[in-house]
Amino acid sequence: MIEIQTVTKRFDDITALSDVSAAIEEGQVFGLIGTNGAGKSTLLRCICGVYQPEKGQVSIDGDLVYENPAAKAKVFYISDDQYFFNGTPMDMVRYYQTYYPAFDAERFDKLMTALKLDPGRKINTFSKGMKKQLSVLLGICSRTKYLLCDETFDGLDPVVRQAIKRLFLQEMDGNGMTPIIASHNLRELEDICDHVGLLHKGGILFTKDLDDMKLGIFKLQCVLRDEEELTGIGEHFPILQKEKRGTLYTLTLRGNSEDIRGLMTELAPAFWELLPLTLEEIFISETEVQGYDFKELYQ
Amino acid sequence: MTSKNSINNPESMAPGFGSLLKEALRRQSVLMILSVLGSFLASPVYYLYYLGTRNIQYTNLLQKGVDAIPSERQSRELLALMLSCLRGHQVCHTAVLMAGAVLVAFVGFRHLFNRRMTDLYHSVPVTRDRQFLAQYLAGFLIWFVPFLTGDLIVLIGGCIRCAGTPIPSIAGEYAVFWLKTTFLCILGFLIVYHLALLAVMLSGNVFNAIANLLLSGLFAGMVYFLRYLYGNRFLDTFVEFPKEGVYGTLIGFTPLLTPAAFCKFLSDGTWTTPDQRLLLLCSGALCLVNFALAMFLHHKRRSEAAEGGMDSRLLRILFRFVISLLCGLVMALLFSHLVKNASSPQAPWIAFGGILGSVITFCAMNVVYHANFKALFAHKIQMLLSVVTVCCIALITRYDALGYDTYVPKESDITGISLVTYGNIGLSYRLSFDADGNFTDMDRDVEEPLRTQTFSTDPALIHNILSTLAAAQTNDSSSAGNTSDPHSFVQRGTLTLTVNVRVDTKHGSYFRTYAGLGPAEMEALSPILHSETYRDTFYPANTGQFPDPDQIALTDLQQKALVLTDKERIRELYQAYTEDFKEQYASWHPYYSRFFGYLYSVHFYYHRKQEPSFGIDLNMWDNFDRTTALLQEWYPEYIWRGKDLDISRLELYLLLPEGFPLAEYLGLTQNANGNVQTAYELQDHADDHRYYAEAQNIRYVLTLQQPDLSDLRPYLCFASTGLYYDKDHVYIGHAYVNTVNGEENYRCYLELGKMPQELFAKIYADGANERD
Repeated sequence: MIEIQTVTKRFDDITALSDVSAAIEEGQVFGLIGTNGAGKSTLLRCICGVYQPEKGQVSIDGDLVYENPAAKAKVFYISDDQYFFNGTPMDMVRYYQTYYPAFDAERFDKLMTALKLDPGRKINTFSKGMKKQLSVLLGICSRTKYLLCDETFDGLDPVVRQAIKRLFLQEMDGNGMTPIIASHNLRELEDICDHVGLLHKGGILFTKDLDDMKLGIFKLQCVLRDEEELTGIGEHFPILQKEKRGTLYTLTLRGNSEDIRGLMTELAPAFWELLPLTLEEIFISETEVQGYDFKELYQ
Repeated sequence: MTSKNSINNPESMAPGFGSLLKEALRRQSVLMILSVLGSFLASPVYYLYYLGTRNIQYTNLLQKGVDAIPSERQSRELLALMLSCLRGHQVCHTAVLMAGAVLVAFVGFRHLFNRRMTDLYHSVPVTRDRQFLAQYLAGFLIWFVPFLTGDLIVLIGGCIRCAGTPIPSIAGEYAVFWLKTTFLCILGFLIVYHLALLAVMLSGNVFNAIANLLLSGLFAGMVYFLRYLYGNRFLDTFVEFPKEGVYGTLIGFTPLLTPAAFCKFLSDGTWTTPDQRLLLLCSGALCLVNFALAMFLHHKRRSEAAEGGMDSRLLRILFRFVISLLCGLVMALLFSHLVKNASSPQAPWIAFGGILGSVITFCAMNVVYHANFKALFAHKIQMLLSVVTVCCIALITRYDALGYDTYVPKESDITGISLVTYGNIGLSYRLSFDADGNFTDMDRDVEEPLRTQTFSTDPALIHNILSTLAAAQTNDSSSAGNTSDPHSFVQRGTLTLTVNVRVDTKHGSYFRTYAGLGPAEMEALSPILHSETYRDTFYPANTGQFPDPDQIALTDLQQKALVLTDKERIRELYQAYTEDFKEQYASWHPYYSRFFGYLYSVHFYYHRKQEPSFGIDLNMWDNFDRTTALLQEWYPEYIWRGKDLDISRLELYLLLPEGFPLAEYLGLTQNANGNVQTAYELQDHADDHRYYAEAQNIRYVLTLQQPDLSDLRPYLCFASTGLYYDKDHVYIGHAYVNTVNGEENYRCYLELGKMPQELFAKIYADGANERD
């Protein structure tokens, strides 16, 4: 488990992370989301031991990570703009083999072939997407326990993105890898993350299980006969968000789907429909509850 | 496929140091190629080129093989040439090694200048110390292996060549000298390498690293030089003494100059002077400290410093301040120089120069540190502080606001005084004589008594002297202008007196120089100048009276007596000088007694096989105008002119009769002015000689010998530093040759030239006929 305890990181006058605490369990896909400049990359660099926090500490499986090769050997960090030597992918393989002796070169070859990447071609002739793919493959084949991905899916086409996601799942099942993916694109993470943490202005708002969140929050569209019915719904389930267009109400409710369905059946409005929320909608709602303005976060 | 277990036991998979080193080497293959090329060009290729082009005589010998070398002497000559090649090689290699050291450090740790690379390097599972050591060692090996290979070729080739001569044992001498050059090369490389590493560790970008390298590499020298410039320019009584250990310490703590100083070691052929020992000690210590600091800073370095300015905010402030301060002071000095003859006051210009230099540098440093042109005028308060400091230092020095020139310590604090009445420290020498009055040795004398010999401990007397001298320094009318003394300073016109003083106080010693002194000041000084301690120290022999000309030692190289006519003529000249001096200078002047010492430098003659050849080294007092005037008076048929030392002496001439084995002409001397004449320079001089010799139909052969030290000792004398011209102003100068004897280096010179016939006839009437 990766434990982040009250980590604070400053760059001169700028506080990038402020008392951030979180725990990332093994065997899950952890999504680190937040706006640009929220501190996602900084947090990842703290996790992989590139940055030393001014305050607090990061530990991996109980070991502090900074300047600790044993802890760092469990982490592979893919930055948002990965550096490659002026050479071929095989030069990078040799480099990582030095530091990660468990590097699986055979699997690397297979994956390169599968993704139609030429291992003998100069990396500086690769497109941005190809470089992203290469960095992910290098990370996967390094066989580390944790794979830190910073905006890794940015620049990948949908087909490759799906392929990479499947690779992640395969590695999780086969080798116990735990990917930690930082992104500002919530839609990309929705179908892969199990657990998410929201960073904003250097602080982590919360970390939650995505399924739990989805099971406890819904979007209800309905045409009500009068305002009393709306009050009745509000008495049973907290209304996180309310929008009215003509006679159509769109309500975001926190509660169990069965209970909501039961109440709506009982109220029997002219029209009602219970819909699941997207990750983006969930976070908009959650952040509003936390006192953060939607527009402030996502405009 | 790797199991989960292997993933969960990462400690067992930590990369070994060998793997790290191999990886570091692999990433710098281009640098390795450059290193191989540089080392081979600077070592064996240069060596062969040097041997092949510098001396036709030896090239022929080399081409013809060892059989062509007929004697042991020529073996020695060959060794001397090969050693001189190594010296030349050393100079060439120094440039390569310095460039290599900086390049290796900057390229090897370039990831610290790039955020993406830093992410890559710092995220992998290895401690920074191991990473540093692997990279450090890789950098060293990249330079060292090609260097050593190239130099081994030079060593082996040289030893084989030496072993094939009639003296095979000289191969050992060659190998020892090679070891010395190699040791100094490695030390020089490490000094610059460690310094460059330190600069890199402190910096976030390459420009900043270069600035840091220059600042930390030259800081001690720059501060010392600036202090010297300001003192010389603005302070009347400032004096810079060649204090023992200063050179060694200064260069030792100026790492970018240290390798060049090592070259001088090899040229001088000595390693044992206090300055050299101190230089080795300081530079070695600094080398180790820099390494430890670089490693420590690498360990502590924040990854986010990449692409920024200085890693530490405190250092950023400090470095920016120091650099802008130095540049501001230089600019202030430059402006003061530009307006030195202007009628307008200097202060505004000095302040303007200081502000300009300081602000420009500060802004430039802002841009470098922030990597952003918008930060040009950032940190205005710090900039203001820098500007104010520059102006304060420059103006305080210019107007002597701290009273440097007029400072006289309290009488109760004074413990002693030492002084020397001479204007030019370091260019005067004390000659030693045995009981018979023969010259035995010489030492640099002027600086020694000033540092070690106290001439008075009477605080009241010293206080009076200092007050008088300080007053004279600030009051022009106090000089000898109004004196009625017929032999006064003003009446002499050209003879000025300078007194260098060391004052010992309870709080330490300080030094001052007082120039342009007249009788009033001399009277104040006379209790010391006429004290026995003072005279005994400076003029141990024949103090107060001119020596008997018979006491002048005149010997030739083979310890044979000279032809009497030579000696008689010298006596005549000696008497002429003496009388002239007595006539021209009153006894109040310190030079009056100094003059005796100078006359004793008539010490070297050369005569052989009754051939009409001879030499004279008659040094006159350091009044160049007077010397020139005398020569003009005595030999009006020639145009005597010159500046400073150029023609202040009637120097040694050798006449080269037709058919004489010119290789036999050999004189021995030390370099008097500390000038180093390398074999390379010798060759250049020789070319000049050849040119002029041919122009005047004078043949000569350049000859090297390896005499024993004991044979050399009696003949060590002043070096001839002047250039000599005949009546048509044609150069008829001389050449120097280095000879190495164990740890000591002596210099042979062969003075060549055609003596003007008329002059020859005046001095050596009989000899002139013989020659013709």
